[in-house]
Amino acid sequence: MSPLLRVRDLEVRFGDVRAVDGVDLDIPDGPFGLGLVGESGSGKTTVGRAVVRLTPLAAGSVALDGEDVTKARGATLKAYRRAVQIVFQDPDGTLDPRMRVGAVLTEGLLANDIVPKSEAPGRVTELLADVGLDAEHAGRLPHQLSGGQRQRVAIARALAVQPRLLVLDEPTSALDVTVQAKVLRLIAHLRDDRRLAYLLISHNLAVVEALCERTAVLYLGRVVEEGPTAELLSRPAHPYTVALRAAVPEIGSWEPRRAVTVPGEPPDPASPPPGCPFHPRCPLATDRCRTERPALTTVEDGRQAACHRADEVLSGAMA
Amino acid sequence: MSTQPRLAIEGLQIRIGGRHVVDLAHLHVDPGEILGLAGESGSGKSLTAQAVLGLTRTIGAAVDGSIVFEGIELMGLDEAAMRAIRGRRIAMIFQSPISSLNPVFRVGDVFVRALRLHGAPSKAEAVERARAALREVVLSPELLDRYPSQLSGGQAQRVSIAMALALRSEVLLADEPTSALDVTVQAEILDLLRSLRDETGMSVLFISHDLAVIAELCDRVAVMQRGRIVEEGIARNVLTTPSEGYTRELVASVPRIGGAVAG
Amino acid sequence: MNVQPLPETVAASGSGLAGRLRSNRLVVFGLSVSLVIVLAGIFAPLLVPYPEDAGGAAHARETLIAPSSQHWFGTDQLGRDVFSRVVYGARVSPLIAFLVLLIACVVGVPLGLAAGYFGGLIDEVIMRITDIFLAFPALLLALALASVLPPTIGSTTIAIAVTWWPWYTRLIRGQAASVAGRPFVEGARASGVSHARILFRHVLPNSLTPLIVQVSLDVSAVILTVSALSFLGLGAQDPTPEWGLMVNQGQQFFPGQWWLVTFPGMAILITAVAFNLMGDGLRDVFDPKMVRRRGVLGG
Repeated sequence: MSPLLRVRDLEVRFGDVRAVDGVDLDIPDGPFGLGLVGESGSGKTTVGRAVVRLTPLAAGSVALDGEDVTKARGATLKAYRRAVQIVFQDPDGTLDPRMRVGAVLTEGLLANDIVPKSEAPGRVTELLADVGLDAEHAGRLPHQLSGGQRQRVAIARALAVQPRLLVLDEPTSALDVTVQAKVLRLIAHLRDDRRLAYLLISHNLAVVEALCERTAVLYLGRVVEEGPTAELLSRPAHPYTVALRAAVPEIGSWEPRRAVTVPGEPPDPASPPPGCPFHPRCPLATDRCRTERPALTTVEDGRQAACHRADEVLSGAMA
Repeated sequence: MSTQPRLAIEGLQIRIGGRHVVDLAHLHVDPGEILGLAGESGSGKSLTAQAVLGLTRTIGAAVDGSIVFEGIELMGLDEAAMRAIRGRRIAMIFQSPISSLNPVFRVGDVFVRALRLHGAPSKAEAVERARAALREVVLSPELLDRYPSQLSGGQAQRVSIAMALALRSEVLLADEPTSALDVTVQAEILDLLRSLRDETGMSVLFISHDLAVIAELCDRVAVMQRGRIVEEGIARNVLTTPSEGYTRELVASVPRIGGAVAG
Repeated sequence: MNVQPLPETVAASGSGLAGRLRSNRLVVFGLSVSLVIVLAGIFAPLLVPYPEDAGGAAHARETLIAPSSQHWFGTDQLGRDVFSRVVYGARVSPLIAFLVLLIACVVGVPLGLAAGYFGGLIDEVIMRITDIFLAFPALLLALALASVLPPTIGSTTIAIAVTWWPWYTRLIRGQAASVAGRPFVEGARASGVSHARILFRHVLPNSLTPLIVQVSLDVSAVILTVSALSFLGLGAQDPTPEWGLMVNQGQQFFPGQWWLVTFPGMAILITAVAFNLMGDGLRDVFDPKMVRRRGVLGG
């Protein structure tokens, strides 16, 4: 059986730069969350935008329910966009400043013939209730809402067209921490309630852990590790995942932290290093890593990593 | 308290357009201490830092109270005297390090001018100090020839810190300095701040919405809500056993790896 | 002590907008004078003592009379009442200005929207065409066109409109391009909203503010251009009471019969200044920084 969303060899270029370079992703039917983590410049946002066809693909394929939509146009593209909705990071920018909340939600409903016009106001009220807002919020303009409320409206807009998959691009990173917690709970609730599947793009490992069964770690446009989130975080197979995990600040680790395991910053994607793209920052790098790029291979049951020394990392070489 | 605080704020009141936005009874930073100022947007934490540097006037705020730095009352200090302190004895770093550097000047130009302004005897001496400061924050001195747009966010933040270091600032006001950075880079900047404090005895007022970052870095923490400090104490105590409801909510809201699924 | 949190945005309500309008005296002045001019044009027949003088009438025995209680602004070389003609002139230049700006918007705005929103080849083609029009000095192009077209008010309107629309295309293109890149437009696209609806419901309203300001500023510029063309004999023809034409015809009697030049000249000046003040004021009113000042509290 084919997964709900299948992405193969996804490649996106900006000029000569390969922002995304051969990414494979599978998302089964909901309720299911796939996390996509990585630092700025890793290409994670670009993957999300390419999946919803907001950014053109240089190569590769995207298929929904086994049907290739890579070259879809017109009605097929419209149907695909209805099925796969995106929620952006910045709730300030995602809503038209001159459009009232009710009109924003109605627009999506009518554009996709979800309900007849006469039933739209009722559906708007339902949608608002679904995301924890009141009916009276329909009459508000975006600037009359708080950041958290705006993000709820953005989620309601995505839900309005009854999508099968959501792409959530850093949905909470612009929000205050208490508001973030509430929006995360909302996503968890919707996922169970509506049997939603989503691709959650985040730089925050804890957010991904809370909401995603599986996680893919992106480095310089490639997946360097993929697997069940809990295992991937508790026993990483790629040195980069180890480093990401170690860099997360935590309340409760009161011992002085060890020296940072990876120095520096990701290399310029315009001129990636030869061999493994992570080798300049990797404490385990060998001569082989400097010349031969490791492929993404299965390292354990259900787990993949792109590292020549993944077995050693798994058995604690970085600890 | 046995030692005199390096920076002490008493009864700070800030009003903007008739609204009372900060009402801070007491806050102090000791020599060589890193104090975390935690809170959400609108809590007044950034405004407090701006008041210390006398920057609130430009946004039309009415400020009352007392801010004493090394025995000098900063409130009501004339602009010339304030300029000698601002940026030199009390430095500030910001959330967006690249945009806080003027894009038309090379890093070195800004650096050298700041050093000359604040007492470097010659240009050669200033350049030498700038190079030394960059090395201290683990950056190549060649960065002095670059423009801010040619730096990464982490490099730009290091440059800002190096500037405070070269000027031998006694207090560093850090306003969300790592919020725009990747976690690996953030970890390095936190390391850097910690080691600088250990080496130079610089005091740091570290403003952040991120309690986990504050837990990593700070000795003490003050939690602000709606302009007031609702809880203050040793970071470890406050963050592990918060006594105020708001602090508890904040701590509980921090997503944790290995924590329960939100829901 | 009562400590209140600042709201996330300090937004201006409708009354705030009106309040800012009222608070700026120059704008109110410009607005009122503009209104008076428009009303004067509309109600000209009721306001002037000799409505027929605005047309082809001639009074051979009353030529070149100095201003008096009977002829407030004096009479011209054909004995027509200058006051009547100046007031009737409010029907000509402002009307031409209105038509020119309307045509320029109707042509320029959709092109600019398309260029900015779609980008790519569409953008290239549209913008190269506008560049060609912009390559000629506007007055020169209008002059050239006016000289080949029959000298009527319609020709003047068309000649000026041809030089005017490319500016609006440019202005709107820049706005539309920046609005098109904003997430809410992508959000609308992602929810399956059609291009046409996105263009007119999202991009256009969010691009319009600078255009409104520019148009109101341009009223005076068009009136000056109309007058310049008429002055050069390429626009309105006698007996049309066009201000520029009146100045042109009156200059041979200057300074002896100074009123022939002075009153229509003042009409041009006052109209231009009034609309300009109004435009300036609108710019302040619509300036997003003034409309919506972000909360000053840091995060």
